Amino acid sequence: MTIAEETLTDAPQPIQGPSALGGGRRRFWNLLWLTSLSDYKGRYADTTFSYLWTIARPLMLFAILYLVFTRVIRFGGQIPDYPVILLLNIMLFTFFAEATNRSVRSMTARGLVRKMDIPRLVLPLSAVMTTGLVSLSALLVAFVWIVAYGVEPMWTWLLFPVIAAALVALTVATAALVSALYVTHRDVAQVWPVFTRLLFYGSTVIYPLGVVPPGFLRDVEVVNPLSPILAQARVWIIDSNAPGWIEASGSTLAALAPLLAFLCICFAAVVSSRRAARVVAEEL
Amino acid sequence: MTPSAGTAGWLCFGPVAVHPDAVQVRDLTKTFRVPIRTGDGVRGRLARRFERSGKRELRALDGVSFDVRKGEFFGVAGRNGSGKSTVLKLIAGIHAADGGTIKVAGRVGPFLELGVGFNPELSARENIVINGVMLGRTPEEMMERLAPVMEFADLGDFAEAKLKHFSSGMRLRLGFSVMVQADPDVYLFDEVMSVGDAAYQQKASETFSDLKDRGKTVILVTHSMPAIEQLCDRAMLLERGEIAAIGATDDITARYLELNREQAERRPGGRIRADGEVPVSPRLRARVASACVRGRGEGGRVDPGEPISLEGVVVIERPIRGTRLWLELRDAQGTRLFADSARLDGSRRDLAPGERLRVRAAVENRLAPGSYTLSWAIMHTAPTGDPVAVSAIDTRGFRVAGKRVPRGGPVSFKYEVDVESAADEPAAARR
Repeated sequence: MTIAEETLTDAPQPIQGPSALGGGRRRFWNLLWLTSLSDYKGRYADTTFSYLWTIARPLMLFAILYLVFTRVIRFGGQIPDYPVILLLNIMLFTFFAEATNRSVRSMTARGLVRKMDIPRLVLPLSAVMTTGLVSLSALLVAFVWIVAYGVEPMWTWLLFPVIAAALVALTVATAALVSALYVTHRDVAQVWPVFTRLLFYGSTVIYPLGVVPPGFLRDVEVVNPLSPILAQARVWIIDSNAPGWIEASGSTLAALAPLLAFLCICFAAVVSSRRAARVVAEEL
Repeated sequence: MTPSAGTAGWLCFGPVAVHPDAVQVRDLTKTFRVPIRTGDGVRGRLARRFERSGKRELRALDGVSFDVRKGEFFGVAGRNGSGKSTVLKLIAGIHAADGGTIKVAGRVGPFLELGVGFNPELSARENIVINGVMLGRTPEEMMERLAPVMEFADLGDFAEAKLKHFSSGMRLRLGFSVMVQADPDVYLFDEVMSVGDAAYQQKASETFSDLKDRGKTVILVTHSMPAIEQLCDRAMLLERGEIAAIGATDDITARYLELNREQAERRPGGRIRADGEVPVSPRLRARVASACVRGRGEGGRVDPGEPISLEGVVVIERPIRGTRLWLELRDAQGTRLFADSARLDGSRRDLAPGERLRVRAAVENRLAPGSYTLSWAIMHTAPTGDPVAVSAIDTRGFRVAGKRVPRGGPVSFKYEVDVESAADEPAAARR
């Protein structure tokens, strides 16, 4: 081939091959949005009450939790507004747990990657987004419940997007990591549901950091990236007098520990996703 | 979108520089690591994970280089495991190459399995949009093409029906239709002609003609030699991850048929096989030094009606008694059309080691245009009284020139037709 030929506008260009993000930003977004939407629609397909379930399910779940924790075991009696703190925490945690669990097998699902040049990261991200769409109605229900409980609306409610953004960032990084690990280690699918269950009791979901005595468990709680999200949600949404994250963690240095943990997860996610993207079509 | 070679020339004033190639592949190498089965228990699996020897390397492609020109129909033939699907998946960006480069002009439309990514719970309309986006279109573009897609797929008013209520034939047509309407610059098809019902195959066949007329670039992977001959401008034959031949479709189909027969005949012989094929002695007594099949036409072309002539040289390595020559003719699908063996008389009846024989045979030709194979071997009469081949069976592909006649069948007979009025016949005879 001559040099002149290479400069022609319609000259063949090198192809990129399979990748986590390749194929253009617009195509990535379109694929992500359409696959998430189709999964969301498919979720309630054929049910009699259809989309009513997106409201009914969280409503029923909250009602059960409320009854159990206020009438049956009377846990957290000394914590002000405990039932709604619990409700908010469970809603936030459920998003994280469901999204990551749904994403574990996403890269290999339906054998799509063997037949199509689809940017691989679309698949776990789509699992996160579908869960996000489902959680939107749960969020609405949660706020109605919180107001009905008697919590006064505060200007700090406007900061909820900050909490949501932090939670989504953590969920996306974790989803990318577990789905990439699953490609080469199928055991992840067995371990991850157990790990999220452990995380439910080991995070500050059903109790605030303040009640944990100093020791190993507390150190783990401080490093856990979910802890600051839940602590700030309590302060900004329910109880402005509750301790913020810096106060609850004990020091500015300790307050930064979850950020470090989050960055580690991000780094691991990037490395493993890049590797998995190239080999996933061969590992099915 | 890049202008296609077919239109750029006349749409603009003056000559337009168009790059001739749509796809350039250089030194493509791909190795798969396949786990060796060491048991399904925990120990076996742990061993597989931690030992390097737990995986076997399978070289799927080894230094493959070729170009596909713009507007060309390029066929890729090869037996199972030859690497032809791997080539397509590498061009489609599904697998990563271990070595070499692939360059493509414009958007690639991989069509490796019909309706990939279809969601049965969604309507046809939603599936069309998602599939179109996977093929590189925007949702808006696909919405505009909704009507043509449905029309092309002969699905009429079913746009809002859920896909799970479609028959597999309807899904196939929809997948095909989306692909065509997404209009990529380079189409990649993998065995699309071997699936679906008659209506689908008819649709696929019409589409290929249409793509050809519109000057689209198509790479077609197939086992079907008639498809290669009818559709492709050029083809490539892969064998064990390397290019065995590349060029005119006639040569490729002939070579493919030879390979297939050689493979079939490499199976251990010694007994008459159930399918009635000739048994080959495990202990060979003669070696084929050279052979070719020719016609009397220009450049050895076999014209319809002209005898097919075989010429070969055999070297005798062990004594042979009661020598026979065996011949067999098959069509492109491997159907046996004719087989027979003839005894060599006189001084050629018993042969001694070291002798070189020139073998000539002329076979009457009643074949319809198309690709065929002629196989031959030296036989002797085994102690059991059965004739057994004592040289390896040599297979040569050839092509009878001319356009293949639709509904033709493998042979062509001369026939006469006479038509006259039957009005004067009595009514009873008409009944």
